[in-house]
Amino acid sequence: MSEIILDIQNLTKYFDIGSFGTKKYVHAVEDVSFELHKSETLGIVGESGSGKSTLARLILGLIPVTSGKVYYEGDEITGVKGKYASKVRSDIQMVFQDPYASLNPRIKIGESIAEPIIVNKLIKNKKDVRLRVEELLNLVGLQPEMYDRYPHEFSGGQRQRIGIARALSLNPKVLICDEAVSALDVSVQAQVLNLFNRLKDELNLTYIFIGHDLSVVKYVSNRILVMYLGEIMEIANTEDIFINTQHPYTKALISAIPEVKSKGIKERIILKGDIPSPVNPPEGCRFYSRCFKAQDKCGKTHPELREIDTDHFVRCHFSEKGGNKWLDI
Amino acid sequence: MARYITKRLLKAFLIFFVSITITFFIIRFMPSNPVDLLIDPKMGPEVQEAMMEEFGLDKTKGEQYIIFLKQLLQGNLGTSFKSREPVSQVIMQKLPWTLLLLFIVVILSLAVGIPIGVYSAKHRGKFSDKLINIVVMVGISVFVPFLAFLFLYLFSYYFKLLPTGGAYTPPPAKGIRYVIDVLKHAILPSLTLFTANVASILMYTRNSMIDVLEEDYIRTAYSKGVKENKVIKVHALKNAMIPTITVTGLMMGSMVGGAVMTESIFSWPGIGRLIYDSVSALDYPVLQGSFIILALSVIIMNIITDLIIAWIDPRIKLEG
Repeated sequence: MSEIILDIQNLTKYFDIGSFGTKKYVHAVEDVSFELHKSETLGIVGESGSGKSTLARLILGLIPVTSGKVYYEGDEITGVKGKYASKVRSDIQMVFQDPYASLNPRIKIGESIAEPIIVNKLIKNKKDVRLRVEELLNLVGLQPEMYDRYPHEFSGGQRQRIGIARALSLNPKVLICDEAVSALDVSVQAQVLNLFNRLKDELNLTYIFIGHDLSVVKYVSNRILVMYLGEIMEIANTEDIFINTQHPYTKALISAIPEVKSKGIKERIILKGDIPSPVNPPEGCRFYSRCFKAQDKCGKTHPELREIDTDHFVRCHFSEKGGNKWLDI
Repeated sequence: MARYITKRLLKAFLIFFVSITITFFIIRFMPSNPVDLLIDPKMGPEVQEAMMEEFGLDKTKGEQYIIFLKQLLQGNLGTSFKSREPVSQVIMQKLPWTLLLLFIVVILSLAVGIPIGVYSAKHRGKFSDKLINIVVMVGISVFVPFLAFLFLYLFSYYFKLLPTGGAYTPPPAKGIRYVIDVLKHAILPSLTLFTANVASILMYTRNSMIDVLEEDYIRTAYSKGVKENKVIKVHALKNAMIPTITVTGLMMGSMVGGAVMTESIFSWPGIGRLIYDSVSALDYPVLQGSFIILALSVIIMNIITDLIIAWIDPRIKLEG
């Protein structure tokens, strides 16, 4: 595989929610490690509250880490400040979730896209900045004349294109897309996903693509990482995840993808209840309370992330190489 | 835009008409007779009747109302019962004093309230924010006359630093000494009104700033590498200013009607004091005139506030 561009090591984030002296922590992200290879797309899936967005923000340094390290092209970037930090900031960019809320309603979209260029002093000349922004608008499939319009004049899909143009304004190498299409209609989702794929080839980008909809993530990703309650449950190549599913949670997520088929409709695994509170995560396997294959052992011992096949890691006591028959119901 | 303004003005006119009608009748239903206050009861009923006739109080309320409207259309606010001067002249003498006070208070409240409100929002939940919150709560809930008397006692009686009342020491001095003298007299009433108003400006700024700072586009701004001070100045402040502008507009509108209690306590010769005196003297025309000024200023300030808000928020379109 190609060289490693981002190396995440044992990243952990606890949020302190204790008040008046009591100690309470939300275990948002716990001991997450993975590598991101150049020009791949890594999908991260998991339901709401599994810590995907927190993970993205930790990587970007938007919030401080509790422990763990992030290496970018071999150099540690956790907690760095100053000049190098702004270089890293421009190399790793993020496309945010809600295209309606993430644009300042009071600022023209052209100026919004231009701001990172000006703040990071990429281009000094005002005229050149405008030209660059117009070029970016073109790149994401918008008209350069839209520079002087305000966000409320755009549709959801157009706004997300603006968000992408903004992220691209600093010539990033890594783009983290946090639920970048979740707020859009299905037809618009497809257009934006195609845009992501096109940009990846044109600009030689590396993506971390966060989503809760496995079918969307599958469409763009080379590898998929499944998260649950702040922990990695399974990580493997996209193909392996679907053919050689190892974790019951992954299985449940896959079964939730709607399919267009008349015969042999597969049985859906409906998980009971909600994701448990991350304040005091359960002892043993974090998925224990909702797992349809749970055994006594799962409630007591916390499973480790094991490599059960080449580049296929699973956090489950019962997964083994080759066989995923035990997951059938 | 033109259509919006026409519509807005028509609405304003209607509100104005309704409010002056209501005040006209409320004043006239006061259970007392202004003539009784002006003349000695020992004087014969003929004198009383003559006076009633002079003031136009012998006619029915409906007739009085028609006459009042007719005069108003001609720009005539009537004649004061007490001083026998035209009401417009009386009000014009008092209005500048109220405006001076208003100007000082609004400028000070904004200059102090907005920065502290922003600071408080930035340090939300910290000790400094909690302290500011307590002060704000005290400022909002304090009874203004109580505050006025407290200041009066402290600064004028106990420390003897500032004058007890009025707007200048008679006879008025000349030139710069007059200005200083007036400002000295204005300190206590301004301070009283400032305390009451800065609290609400601070609170609105803080709360709306807190909301805005949690918006997604603020996070986006940080991710662009924009520094905190600039994020607050460029991205947050403009969005957070709307509630503050609205409160300021309302505050200014109602303050033109004078801070009745504050002006009375400090004998500040403004509209508020005029209203107080006119109520005591049952001076209907002056009272009526003051309320017209008050209604007008509230309505005008509302329109101006809306225009300012539409100007800073591109999402608001001024269409009928």
